[in-house]
Amino acid sequence: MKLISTFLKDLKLSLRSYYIYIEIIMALLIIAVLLFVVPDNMSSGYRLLVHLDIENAEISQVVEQFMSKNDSSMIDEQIFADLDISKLAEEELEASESEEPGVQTIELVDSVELLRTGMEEDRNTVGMVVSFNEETAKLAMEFVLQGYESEQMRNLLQAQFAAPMTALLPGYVDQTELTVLDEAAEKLPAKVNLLPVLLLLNSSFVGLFIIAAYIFMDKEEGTIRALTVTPLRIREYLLSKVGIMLLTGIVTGSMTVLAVAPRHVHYGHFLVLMISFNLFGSALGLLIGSFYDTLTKSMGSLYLVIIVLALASVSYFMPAFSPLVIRLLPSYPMLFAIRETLLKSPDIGYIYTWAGVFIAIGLVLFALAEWRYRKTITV
Amino acid sequence: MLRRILAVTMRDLRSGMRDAMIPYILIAPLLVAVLFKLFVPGVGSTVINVAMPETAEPAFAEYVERYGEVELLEDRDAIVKRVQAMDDLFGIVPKADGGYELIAAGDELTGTVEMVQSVLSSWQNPDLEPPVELKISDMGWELSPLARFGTNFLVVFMSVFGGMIVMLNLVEEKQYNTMAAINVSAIRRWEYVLGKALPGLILPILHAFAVLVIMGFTEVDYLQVAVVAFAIALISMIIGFVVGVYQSEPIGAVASMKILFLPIMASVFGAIFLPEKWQPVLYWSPFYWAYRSVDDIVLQQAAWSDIWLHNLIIIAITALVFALMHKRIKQGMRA
Repeated sequence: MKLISTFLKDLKLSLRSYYIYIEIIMALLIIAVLLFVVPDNMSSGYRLLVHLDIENAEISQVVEQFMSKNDSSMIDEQIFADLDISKLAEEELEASESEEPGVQTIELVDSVELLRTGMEEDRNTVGMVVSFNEETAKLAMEFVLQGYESEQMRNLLQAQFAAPMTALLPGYVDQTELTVLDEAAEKLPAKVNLLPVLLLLNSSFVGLFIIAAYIFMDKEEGTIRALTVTPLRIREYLLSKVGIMLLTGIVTGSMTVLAVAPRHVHYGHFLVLMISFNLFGSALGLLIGSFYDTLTKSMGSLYLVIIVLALASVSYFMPAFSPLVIRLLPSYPMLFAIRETLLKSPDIGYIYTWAGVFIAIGLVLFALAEWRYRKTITV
Repeated sequence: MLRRILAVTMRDLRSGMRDAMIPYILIAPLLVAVLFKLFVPGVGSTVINVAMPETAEPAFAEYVERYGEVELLEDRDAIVKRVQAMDDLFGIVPKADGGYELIAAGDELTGTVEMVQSVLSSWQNPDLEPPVELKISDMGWELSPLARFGTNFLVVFMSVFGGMIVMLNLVEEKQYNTMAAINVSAIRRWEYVLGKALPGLILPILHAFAVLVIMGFTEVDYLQVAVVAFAIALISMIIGFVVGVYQSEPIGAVASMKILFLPIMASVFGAIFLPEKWQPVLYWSPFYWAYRSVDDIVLQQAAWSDIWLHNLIIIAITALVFALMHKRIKQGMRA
């Protein structure tokens, strides 16, 4: 009863201050960006500049035909997409809108100099010089990379390019049997795929950003001293704050997910995750805040923790880069669990395992925070 | 006059040093830069990850390592379990007939399965030369897109920290009602404002230098960096003042700063990802122009004329914001 009345009182105070409205504005801005700015399909293909250094017109013609027929199968755009950030060329955007995501742009240039200039102007461009070696009577294809590509990537590119050509030779052996564990694995549209990161940072971790500020505000205004002479226990006082964060997170999270992915989200599962992750975030925020006596002092640590947790989004967007240190971050399974709630066939086991784990960790953190605040809150 | 301005600055700095806030705000962004620097070589260098049984032929494992990262696991079951994890990793299990089973989860990035298949193909056909000569060369450009865009982002993003100091100082003053005391002190209002703003002006410049050094950009034109960082510092300072005078409680101030991350992110990521024809939608943002300048500097392609033009735009936008807000800032300072 005391908890409910404290919660309602805190809620009234929160509604009177700017804070909750700022969170709602933030959610509306995110919705606007996702709905009106981010395209459904984001191609991160690269631009390939090709110079045909062949005098014989017939060979040139053969090569041109070869290029136009085999372009997307010969070189896979993902090699470069995985380089991370690559500028989207206008043509690539058009390609992505034409339901053919990831199609690369191939441009023919007249000289090696023009190819190099083009590559210098756009550092996300790859070059290729095709010539004819009279001695070996073979076509020679030289891939010109920028220079930052790793050795593994270069080898992979070579293998990737050689494989379809080697397959045409007599004596070619292919004893590879492909087993796909989930044939129906779903790939989310770009804007829906962005949601887990935004939902985690803005709605799930809302308490991590702000809950300590609440406590310090009460402390500085003397509210906490007044509370010590009431029957209210510290646990109820802290739980009431956690409740406000939970409500804010659920409101902003639900707004965002229902506006951007109403046909994707399994709302029940999503709600369970929001509750679990929000509790974890608030408990962590409380615990970190308990080591400081002013908001100013605690903010540095809180922001640092948030930045570290946000690093998991790098592996979320580039699954091939998932070192153990990132997989150990709590935000890593959180992102993938939220993504599961947006898939047609979510992995219920994964969702509820992590929901349970973070509720448990949240409870432990909350208990620790309560123990800390018992000693320090009235000081 | 200068003494009075510095007195205000020093008082804020002393107060910040007492609760370790100033060292923290100085060091925290640099920690982030160090963290980022550690990250950069790993991100993007590995395109494929593969798990295979411990019993796999060592020469085969070594061969695959030339193309990607290899994990050795106990048996097929362990490999299947690992493939089902959330990251992109393929399983390769040698078969009794000399072939290989390639295990994919099904949700990997488009094209990566074909990459692993091509590696297996080249292993299985060591004597077959492709009918064309393949060669790879490079332009000698070692700066990866991630290092470039990440550094630019860090330099622009760090401007918030300077603004944060100004904002927190002001909110603190308002909370303890010390602002009113300024009205009866010998200091002029604008001197007080300048004194308060000084840390917000200096910090982003220091941060910009430090981030560039940490990220290894020692060859860039540091005078250009200083000029651009000053412009970023102006934005940062105005942000600090606007938020600081609007909020009388820290909670609102913290939330307001959080909301400011959005235009910064939108400007930087927009500048990186939006095609040229869509770039004008970001022209309103001073962070966009700051990003453009920093990017040119990092690429060592910055012309002074462009730097001045971008700075002029930033100062014009900042002046406009200040003109629109100055009454409110004045009122806030009195409150």
